[in-house]
Amino acid sequence: MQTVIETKALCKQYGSRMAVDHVELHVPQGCVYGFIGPNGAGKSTTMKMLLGLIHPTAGQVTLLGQTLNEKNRLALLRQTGSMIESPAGYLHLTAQENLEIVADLKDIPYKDIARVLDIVHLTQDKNRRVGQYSLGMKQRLGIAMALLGSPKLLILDEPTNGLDPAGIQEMRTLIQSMPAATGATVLISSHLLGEMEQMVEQVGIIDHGHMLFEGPLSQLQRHSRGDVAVRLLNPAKAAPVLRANGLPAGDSCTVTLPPLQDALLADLVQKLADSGAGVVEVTPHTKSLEEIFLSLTGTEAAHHE
Amino acid sequence: MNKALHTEFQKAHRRHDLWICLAVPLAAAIWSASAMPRGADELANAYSALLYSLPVLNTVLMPLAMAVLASRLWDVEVKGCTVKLLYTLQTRRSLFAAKAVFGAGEILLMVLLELAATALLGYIQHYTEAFPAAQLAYLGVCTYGVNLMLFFSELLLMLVFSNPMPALCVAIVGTLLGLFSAFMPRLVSYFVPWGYYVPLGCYEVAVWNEAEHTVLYGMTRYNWGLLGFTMLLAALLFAAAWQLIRNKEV
Amino acid sequence: MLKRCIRAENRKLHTSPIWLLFLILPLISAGYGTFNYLQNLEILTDGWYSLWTQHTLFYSLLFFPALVSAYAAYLWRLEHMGHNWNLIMAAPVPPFTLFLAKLFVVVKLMCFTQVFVYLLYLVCGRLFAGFPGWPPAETLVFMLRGLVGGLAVAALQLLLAMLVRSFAVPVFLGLVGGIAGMLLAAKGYALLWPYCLMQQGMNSNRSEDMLAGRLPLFFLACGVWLLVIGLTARLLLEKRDVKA
Repeated sequence: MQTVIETKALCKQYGSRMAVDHVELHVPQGCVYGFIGPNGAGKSTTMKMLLGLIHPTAGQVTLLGQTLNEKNRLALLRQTGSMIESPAGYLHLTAQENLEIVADLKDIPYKDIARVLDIVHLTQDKNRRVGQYSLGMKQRLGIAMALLGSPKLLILDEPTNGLDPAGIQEMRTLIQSMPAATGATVLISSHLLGEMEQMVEQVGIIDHGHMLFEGPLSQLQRHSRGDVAVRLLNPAKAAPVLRANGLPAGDSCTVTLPPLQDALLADLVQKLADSGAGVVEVTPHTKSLEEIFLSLTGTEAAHHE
Repeated sequence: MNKALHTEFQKAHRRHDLWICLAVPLAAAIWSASAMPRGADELANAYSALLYSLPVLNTVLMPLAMAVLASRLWDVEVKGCTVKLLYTLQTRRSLFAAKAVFGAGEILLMVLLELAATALLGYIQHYTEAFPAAQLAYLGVCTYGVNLMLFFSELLLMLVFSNPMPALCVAIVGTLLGLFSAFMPRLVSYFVPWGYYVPLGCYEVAVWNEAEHTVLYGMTRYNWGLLGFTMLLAALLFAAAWQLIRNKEV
Repeated sequence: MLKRCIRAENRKLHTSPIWLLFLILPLISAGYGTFNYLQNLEILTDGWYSLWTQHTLFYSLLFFPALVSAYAAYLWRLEHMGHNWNLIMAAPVPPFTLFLAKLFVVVKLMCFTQVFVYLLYLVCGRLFAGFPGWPPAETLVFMLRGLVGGLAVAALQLLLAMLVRSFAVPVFLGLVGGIAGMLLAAKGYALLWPYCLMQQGMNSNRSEDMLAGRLPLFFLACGVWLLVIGLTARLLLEKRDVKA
């Protein structure tokens, strides 16, 4: 699988603050990649460097197999659609006119405008001035601008900001379908892991400018192994076994075990059963992705202080 | 480049900046017309009187008009948050070039309309003085040069602050300084670029008869040196604005 | 109610550098006026009166309208930006109070400027022109009358800035209004155009009082203009839909 976006030791320094610190991104072709981090983690800064809007302090960006530089930047960006931070648009012009400007600059025939307007459901409002649009409509117009010309790569910064629940659901469906429909690769950022869970295959988690995790969503979910609760009929008999394994024991009927590998857990349950403790229930607690996210970013924050 | 300029025209749609280009020559024409010459001696002197006073009118009108054009040209990008988008779609060079060419075109239109209004005024009010074609052309070139310089200075301010207020305030202060420098000794006016219209003018009061309230105008030499310096300033400000666009982090 | 609105307006202006303009313009105007007076002593023979005309001529003709329009445009720009219109129109105060509060803030700054202009006049007269004694009390009346005349300009520019969302356009219109005022005043229609009222009140053109015998008419003109502009603003604020 080819890598569409790759960064090597990407850094951006503002004064003494490292906004982005040696970030290594690898976005495989044809996937939806979720770039997740709390507000101010360095997501937008990274995305701006991917688009060449700001210059990295160090490191390099490779887009569609080519190292990004001033010469090939626009040629690469012509195959890219993007929306960074607040949606752009000339307030005194209509959506149609705004898209005509973008189409001209991208060198795309105007007939593509109807298609993207339809995708974002703005066809009915295309002749209204953007100044009269709601935030959600401006957001959708921004996406339409990005979609114009069926780019191979879409870079969307918090595209669901300001959308209503139905709009968010639509956006998810739309983004999820992009790789299959147009072969596009999508890099999408968010500070909400929950909404990403349903549409991304790959995730990168960033906080304080550092990448904390990068890989398939399923691998992240494997981090979700949580505590195991074991309910016993006879806790007194279980105590020696638990102590022998270095675990705390008490007289409560429910014992909470730390996350264990499957084989170890099976072994322990076997021993408990043999001791006559009467194992009634073994309940694994899975962490939600939100909790994983918080634990990843939380540890990192503690590590920094 | 053509494409970039084309999009500037698309953006100008419904922005009504053309009215500014019309309002300035119109205001200048009405102002000039209000001092309608009476009597044969004044009519025989009328073009000179008009070309003598036009630089002063320009000193009052143009700096603020340039600030309006320059600030609106960039304010549209600031308000729409479109700079980031544009930088992913076109080279910074083409964006800046398109803005510069579009602005220069608007100013050219303004200057040409003002010259046309002057000629028209002479025709309507039946001036008997010979039509001073060369002087009018010189005035046009000078007005255009100073306008360009001020336009790029205001564009620069607009780029630095992303807010039209500083540009407009500087224009107001500049207008005041320029107007005053027009009535100060010539040397002072060389230090006030906003008022360069006046020292660039090629007419002067030759004879002023206080008792009879009559004025005779004479011609001075064309001030090529100052015109050259104006162009140099314009080029420097142009380069500074371009550097700013080129290195701006968005 | 109005007091709270004014307090809010004052807070919005906190740390805005726009008042610098109100300091710089009178300074330049005074510097030039004094210089010009000293250069033309043989024509300007009316002492304190002559110095007054030199100090205030261009200022009241052109720069006062431009100055006030910049200030008014700035005050409304704060509301035009973002979605602030929604915020202020949803505030539990009558919309017209907002307009009055802004007018009050502009007028307050205008007062400071007028006093500043007058102080500069005194200083320049004593220090540079070397006049003995103090100026005639009439000049003080001119200054106060100028303030009354300026009210109409302030209200009209606030109305324009409220309607035009661009910062630059109303400022430009203010200058054009000033020029038109200059031309109309020369034709004798001074009291029919709000931008003339300031210069008429200031008596900045000549030494003798231009408004002698017409003072009631002047105040009537100021009042009528203020009323017309105020009512228009009120009507527009209350009837028009909010466009954020």
